[in-house]
Amino acid sequence: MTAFRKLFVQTSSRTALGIFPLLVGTLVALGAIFLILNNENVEPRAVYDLIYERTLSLPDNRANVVDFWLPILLCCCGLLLTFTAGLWNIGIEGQITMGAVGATSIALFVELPRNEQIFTELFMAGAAGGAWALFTGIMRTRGGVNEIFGGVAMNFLASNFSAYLLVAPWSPPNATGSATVRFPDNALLPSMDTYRLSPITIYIALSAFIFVLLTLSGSRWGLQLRAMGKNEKSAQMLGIPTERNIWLAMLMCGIMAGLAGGHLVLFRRANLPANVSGGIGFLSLLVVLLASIRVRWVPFVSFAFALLYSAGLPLRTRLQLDSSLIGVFLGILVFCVLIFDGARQRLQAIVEQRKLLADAGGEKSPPPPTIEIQIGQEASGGPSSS
Amino acid sequence: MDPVLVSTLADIVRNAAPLLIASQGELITERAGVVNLSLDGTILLAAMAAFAVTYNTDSLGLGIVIAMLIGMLVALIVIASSVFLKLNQIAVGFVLTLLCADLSTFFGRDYAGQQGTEIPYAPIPILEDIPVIGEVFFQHNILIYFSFVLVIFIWLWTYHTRFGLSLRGLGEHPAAAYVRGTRVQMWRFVYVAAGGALVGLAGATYSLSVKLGWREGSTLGNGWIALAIVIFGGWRPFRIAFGAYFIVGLRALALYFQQEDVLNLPIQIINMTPWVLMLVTLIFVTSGLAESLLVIVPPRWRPAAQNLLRAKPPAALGSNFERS
Repeated sequence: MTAFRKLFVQTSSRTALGIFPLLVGTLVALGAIFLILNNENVEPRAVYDLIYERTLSLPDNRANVVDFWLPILLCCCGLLLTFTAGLWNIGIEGQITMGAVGATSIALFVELPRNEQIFTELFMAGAAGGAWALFTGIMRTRGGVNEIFGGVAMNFLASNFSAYLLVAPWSPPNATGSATVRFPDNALLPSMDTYRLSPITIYIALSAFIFVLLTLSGSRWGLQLRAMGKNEKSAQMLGIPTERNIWLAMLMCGIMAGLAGGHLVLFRRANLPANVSGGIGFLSLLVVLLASIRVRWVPFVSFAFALLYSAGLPLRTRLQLDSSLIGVFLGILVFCVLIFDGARQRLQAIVEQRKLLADAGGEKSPPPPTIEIQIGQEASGGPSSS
Repeated sequence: MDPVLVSTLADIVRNAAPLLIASQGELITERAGVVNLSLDGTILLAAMAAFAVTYNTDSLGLGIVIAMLIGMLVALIVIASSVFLKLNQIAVGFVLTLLCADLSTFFGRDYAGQQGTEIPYAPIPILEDIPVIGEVFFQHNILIYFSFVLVIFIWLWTYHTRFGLSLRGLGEHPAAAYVRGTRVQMWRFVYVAAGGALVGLAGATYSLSVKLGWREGSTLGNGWIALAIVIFGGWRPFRIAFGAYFIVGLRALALYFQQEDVLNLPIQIINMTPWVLMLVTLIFVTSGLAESLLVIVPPRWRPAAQNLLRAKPPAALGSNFERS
C-alpha cells in the first residue's frame, strides 16, 4: 500500500510538473492576447463568444472542427515518428500538397467503381506524399543535404508544381487558376448521415494514432528511433540501421501527410485549390513541439489547435481582427511552453545535482549531461533533446 | 555592352542585397556555433516594422534601427534560451519564425499597400562613371553599397584578425577557445546579436529599398533561401555572396525568359528552377561528389580546388558549451 502511494505521488508530481509549463504558457499567451485586444479596442469576451459560437455551439460546427482536426492529427502522427528519430520534417507542407495532387490526379482523370476509386485515390495520395518525404530522406543520407533545407526546398517545389497544374493542365475553362473543377460525387469520400464527417478519414486517423502509439511505446523499431533521436552516431555504432530507419520514418510521415492532403481535396474541398495545405503542416509541427512529443497528449493538443484555427476566419469578418491573431496566440503559447519547460528541466537538474552532492557528502558529482544538436549529418532535434 | 544586360546586372546587384546581408548575418551566427532558424519570420517582421516606423515618423534612420533591434532581439532569444535553459536552438528558431511571420501580418495589416519613403538614390561620384561597372555597382543607395562592404569586412574580420580567429574557435572547438582565454558565452552573445541585427537590416532593405512598401508575406521564403545559401556557400563570406547573386540571377533570368518569350514555360515552372538548382548544387557540394570529380583537375591545382569546394559546417554548430 505504501509503495502504491509512493508511486501515485511520484506519478502525480511528474504529471503536475509536465502540465505546469503548459498552464503558465497558456496564461502568458492569454495575457499577451488580452493586451493586443485591448489595444485594438476589442472585448476579449466578444472574441471568446465568437470562437464558441463558430466552433462548439452547434453540432454542425462541432463536426466542422473535427473535420479540420483529422488531417492535423494525421500529420502529427507522422511527425511523432520523425521527431522521435531526431528529424525535422519541415517539408511536411509539401508532402500534404503532393498528397492532394496525387488524389486529384485520380479523382479528375480515372473512373472506377466507387470503392476502387476511393482506394486508388487514397493510395495515390499516400504514395505521392510518401515519395516526396522519402526523397528528402534520401537527400539527407546520401546527398548530405540537411532535412530542414531539403524539406523547405521540397515545399516550394510542391507549391509551385501544384500552382502550375492549376493554371495549365488542370485548369477549368475560363478559370483564374485558383482551383480545379469540383470532383464527381463518385470520387468523393462518403460522409456520415448525421454529420458532415468522413468515416474513412476517422478510421485512418485513429489507426495511424494507435499505430504510432504502439510503435513508439512498445516496439523494437520505436526504441531504435528513440536511440537515433538521442544520438544518431552512437545508435549507428550500436548496429542500428540508421539510414534505413530515416527513410522509413520519413516515408511513414509522408504517407500520413499525403493522406491528410487527400482528405482535404476528397472531402473538405471537393476540388484542388491553390495553397491546399493552408499551413496545417506547420501547425502540426507546433502541436508536436507543444506536446513535447508525448504521444498521448497529441490528440488533445491538436484538437485545441484545430478548434482555435477553425475560428480564424470569422474574426476577420465579424470583429475586423486579422485571422493571424490565432497564429500569434498559438506562437506565443508554444514559445512560452518551450521556455517554461526548459526552465523547469533546468531547475530540476540543479535540484538533482545538489541532492547528489549532498548524498555524496560534498563530493563533486559529474555535471548534468548537456545536449548537443548537430546540423548536417548529425542533426538531432525534437523537444526530447531539449 | 547591351544596355538591357547592364540594367539586368544592376537589378541583380540591388535585389541580392538583402539576401546577401541576411546570409552574412547568419554566417557570423553559425561561425559562432549557433543556429538561428528564425530568419524568415525575422525578415518579415523587421521589414514590416521598418516600413511602419518610417511611415509614421518620416525617419528612415529610425526605421532601420528598429528593424535591426528586432532582428537582434529575436536572435538573442534564440541564444539565451540555448545558453540558460539548454533548449534546442532549432525548435526555438522555428517557433519564432512562425510567430514573427504572424506578428508581421497582424500588426502590418494597416500598412499593406501604403506609399512609403524610399532610401535615397546615392550614386558614388567618379565611380559611377566607369563604363558598365559604374552602372552595375555604383548607382544605388547606401544599403546596397553596405552589402558589398559587409562581405569584405566579414572576410577580413574572420580570416585576418585575432577576433576572427576566436570567432572560428567558438564554432569549431569552443572548449579549446575557452582554454585559450576566450569568453565563449559572452562572445557567442555578441556575434549572435550582431548577426541578428544584420538579419533585421535585411528586412529593412526589402521594405525601404528593394520591394518598396509592405504587404502580407512580401518577403516570405527569403529567410529560408538565406539559410540555404550559407550552406551552399560553405560558411565562407565570398562564396555566400556568390550564392546570393547566383540565386537572384536565376530569378532575373527566369523573368527575362518570360518577358522575351524565349522559353514558353509557365512562371510556376520557372520559379522552381532556382530551388532545383540549389538542391542539385547542395547535393553536388555536400555529398562529396564534387571532390570525387577532382581527379580530373591537375594535381598542382587540386588542393586549391579542394579548398574551394569545401563545405564543412563548424564542428560545434548548434551545441551548448559548458565549462567543465
